[in-house]
Amino acid sequence: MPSLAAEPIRTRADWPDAIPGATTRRRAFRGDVVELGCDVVVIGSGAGGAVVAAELAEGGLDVIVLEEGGHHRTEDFGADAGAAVRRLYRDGGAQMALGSPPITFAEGRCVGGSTVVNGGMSWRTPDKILERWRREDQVAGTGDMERYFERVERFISARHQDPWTVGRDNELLREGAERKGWAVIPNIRNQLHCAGTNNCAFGCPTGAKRSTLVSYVPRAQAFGARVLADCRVDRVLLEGKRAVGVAGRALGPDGRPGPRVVVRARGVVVAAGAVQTPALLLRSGVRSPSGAIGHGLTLHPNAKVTAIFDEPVEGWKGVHQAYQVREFQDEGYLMAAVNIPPSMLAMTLPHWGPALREVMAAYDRAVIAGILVEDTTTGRVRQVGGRPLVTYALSDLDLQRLVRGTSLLCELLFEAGARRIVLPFEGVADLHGPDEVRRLFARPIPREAMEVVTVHVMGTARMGEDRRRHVCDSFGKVHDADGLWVSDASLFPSPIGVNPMETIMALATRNAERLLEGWR
Amino acid sequence: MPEASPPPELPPARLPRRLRATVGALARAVCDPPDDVAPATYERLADDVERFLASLPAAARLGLVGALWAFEASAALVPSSRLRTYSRLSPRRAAAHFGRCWESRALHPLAKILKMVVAFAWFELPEVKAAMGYHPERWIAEASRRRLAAWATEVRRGEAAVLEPDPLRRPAAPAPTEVADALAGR
Repeated sequence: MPSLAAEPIRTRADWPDAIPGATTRRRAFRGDVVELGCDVVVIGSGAGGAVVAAELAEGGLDVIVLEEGGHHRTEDFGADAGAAVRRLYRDGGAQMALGSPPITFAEGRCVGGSTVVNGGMSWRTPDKILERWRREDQVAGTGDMERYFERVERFISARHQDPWTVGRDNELLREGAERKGWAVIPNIRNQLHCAGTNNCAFGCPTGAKRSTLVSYVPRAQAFGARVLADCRVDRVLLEGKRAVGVAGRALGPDGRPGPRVVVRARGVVVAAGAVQTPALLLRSGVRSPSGAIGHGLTLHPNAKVTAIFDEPVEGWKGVHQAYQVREFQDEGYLMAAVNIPPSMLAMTLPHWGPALREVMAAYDRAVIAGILVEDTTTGRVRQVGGRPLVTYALSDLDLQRLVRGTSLLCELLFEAGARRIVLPFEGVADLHGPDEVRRLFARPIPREAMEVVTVHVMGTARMGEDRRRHVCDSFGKVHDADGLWVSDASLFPSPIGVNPMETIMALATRNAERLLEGWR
Repeated sequence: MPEASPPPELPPARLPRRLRATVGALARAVCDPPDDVAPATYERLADDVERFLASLPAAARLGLVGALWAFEASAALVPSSRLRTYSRLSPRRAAAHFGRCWESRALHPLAKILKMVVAFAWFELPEVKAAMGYHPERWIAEASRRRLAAWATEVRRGEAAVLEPDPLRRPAAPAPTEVADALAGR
């Protein structure tokens, strides 16, 4: 039965004295060490970590979740994008994959992880992807995912949006697609009567978006898991090839480094995301026979356009990404309307001075739309000076696909009535009509002129049954290591072409079940 | 024991007065605000940039502060500036200098990063958002109120359901067969 008095999430204010079950070892010159013990320690509280923690705790194991970020509650969330980015995102949202062009990416760093700041899209892994994983990577059990998807969808309330919460920006996207005769579908989102506040990327101010902060984390707590925020894990502790716990450091009440933390456990689940997970494995000295830890990074490159209409749009009124244009899914493109606040738009537009002011003056008439490309190349995460270094060289093919996808998106938006479109390419003039779209192909667009971003990072500790190619087995256990599992998008053997949250959660559920079956 | 209040933000990373002026001068060039913006607005802008700097890892913070210093000093190298650094140029000359950097292949990355930081902070200022007619907090309040008025019971029921026990089904261990099938490509 769930506990009626679940242990509250502990934060920097509680370290070290109010941490339940902890003993503090005082050291004269090197600071205190807080020591804890449990069956399984889970690193991260996002889509992978919170789900594993809840399933293992419900299965009867003593679970501790360590989260590097802080604990921010629904009532803390609002429209202050600047504060949200500083508090909820790693490195103030300013992370970058080095390459030409550099690709900006974002990861959540808070209790709930990236599920707190994502758009709330809940799509199952496409069948063709599961089949590819089975065929090319020998991933076992891909034909048995249905019940895991169903279970996850129940706990996160995955469903269609209530129609009256769809804003004008999304309706214009849908109208444009329908006029073109293109397939457009309503998104399935993890929401419980979403109010349409369009604040998904800065924390849902109503709790309607069922991020793990308000779903799986409380569920894990209800079954006895201890959740400790403001605690960064520096390394996995190994005895030979067996993981025996983790060591890290908590923040003190003032935000400065606090006591050292050691958690002894029989199992360690790393669920820190596809950038931090491989970095942690590497700096812990985990050696994979594949030599592939950190290799295989894919990231669904995105580009966005800003379309100015004559009519009021007020894109902030209504749900984020109500629809997806799926006409080109087989070619690896998705399109959606993705309103962002003025600050983020101004930051990323290729204009400055009077040109920037002119576009920003039309913010309330703008539809901001994005194209996502299923990438065909891979990058790498290295471990340099205690931090991950991400490199990714966008292939020529994917660059061409980004340009083609952008041109298709522009066609759609002009069909919907756009008067002007600002492109994500520096040095390329704004478009003022559909006849100008072909200008995109008149001469090659230099790769350094492209503004490319992503929020989907995947594939850096791939699963599969070939230990010479894959870091983890089909159920997330690290090959050639005992007591060590991975549970996040690092496991994906390939990009999946749709939003990855539900795939991460379903795999985490399945892998938790397998872990419980093997637990002695 | 009651839960702790939300963690406070890190203290801002203080910029020297000169660089706070650089931030203000950059905002005039990049965001092209009206002439009648109050000096206090530029102070709040610099405060916001300092808060952003505090959220960065140390290396990135140092790099960005270095970029601000480099940009501030770069103006003095232009003969027509008569050795004045960026924050001491007239708005017209400051915009022209930013434009030269933006168009320069070598200096464009520097100009772009500074533009991103300053433009983000500028359009986060409450007075700037208000002048644009952008009031998302009013919409959030209104939409939230409507949600609860229509769905309060269902919302409570859904929130409670996530805490109900429902152990994972545990089928008899099929692992060896599954793995063997997968390896055999079946």
